[in-house]
Amino acid sequence: MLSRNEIMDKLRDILLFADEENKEEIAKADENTDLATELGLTSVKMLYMVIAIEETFDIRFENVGFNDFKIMKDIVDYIETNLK
Amino acid sequence: MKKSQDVTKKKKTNYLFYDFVKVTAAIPGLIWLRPKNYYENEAAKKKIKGGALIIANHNGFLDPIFLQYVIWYRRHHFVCGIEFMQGKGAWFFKGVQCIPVDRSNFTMDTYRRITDAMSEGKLVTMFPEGHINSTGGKEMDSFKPGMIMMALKGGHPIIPVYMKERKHFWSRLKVVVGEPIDIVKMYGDKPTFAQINEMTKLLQEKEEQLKQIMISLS
Repeated sequence: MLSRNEIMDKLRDILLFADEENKEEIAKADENTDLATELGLTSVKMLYMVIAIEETFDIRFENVGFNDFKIMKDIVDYIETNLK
Repeated sequence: MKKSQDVTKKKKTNYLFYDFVKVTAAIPGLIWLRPKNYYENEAAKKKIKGGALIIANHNGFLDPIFLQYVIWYRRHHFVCGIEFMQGKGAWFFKGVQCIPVDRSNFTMDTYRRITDAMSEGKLVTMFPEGHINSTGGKEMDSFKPGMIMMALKGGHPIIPVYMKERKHFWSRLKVVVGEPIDIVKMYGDKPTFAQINEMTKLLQEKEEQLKQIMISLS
């Protein structure tokens, strides 16, 4: 089972690969980082990230809208719950 | 093994209502619109086979109907706002196999419906401006990059179509069909955000090129 820190590391890796222009913000992102205002994640970037999360963690996002995820913690919580 | 079992479990799409509407409207529509298709080049003339994504400029609410007359030999699955699936006319939009999308709160279920449809060899049609353009067809609004994510999964081609704005009810329907674009060939299946933006820009430029072809022919 992955720890929350390990999940955060993998999320940072996904974003660091995708967003070359925002490396500094991503590197210092923690669970309280706002996805829209601090990381600039628009709906298409969220879609990209969720697809990558599904591939990386082998989970499926079902019955949730992207608006349900405001900060990194929301994503980590979802992954943690669905990894169990 | 598990994947193939999932596919066989899927309900077969019922096209009875779709085909009824299409056949019933065919003759009156052909008389009304007298569609004229132009093509960017020889590659664009080839019939579209298998899963693909059609993108077009959005001048008015009848555009989905017009596109049926452009690529008449295929059934289209239009991506439409979820509000159309919730009002009084919901039965119609469901019947003609539209795929609803909640633009204010996107879900992976929508993404999977679109990408699964293309993987099953279906034709999905969407308007990347996201709404009827604000200039009444004179200028195109900025394209939204969501279409790129849809086409990336499975590497389906994107076929751009430009529809000339119809000035009168009886104006002839004139369109230019572009050649299929393989975005996976250009950037691979895991592009960065910057590359997705580049692709979106490129597709908008392609639509502008098709518009110029239309202007030069008119």
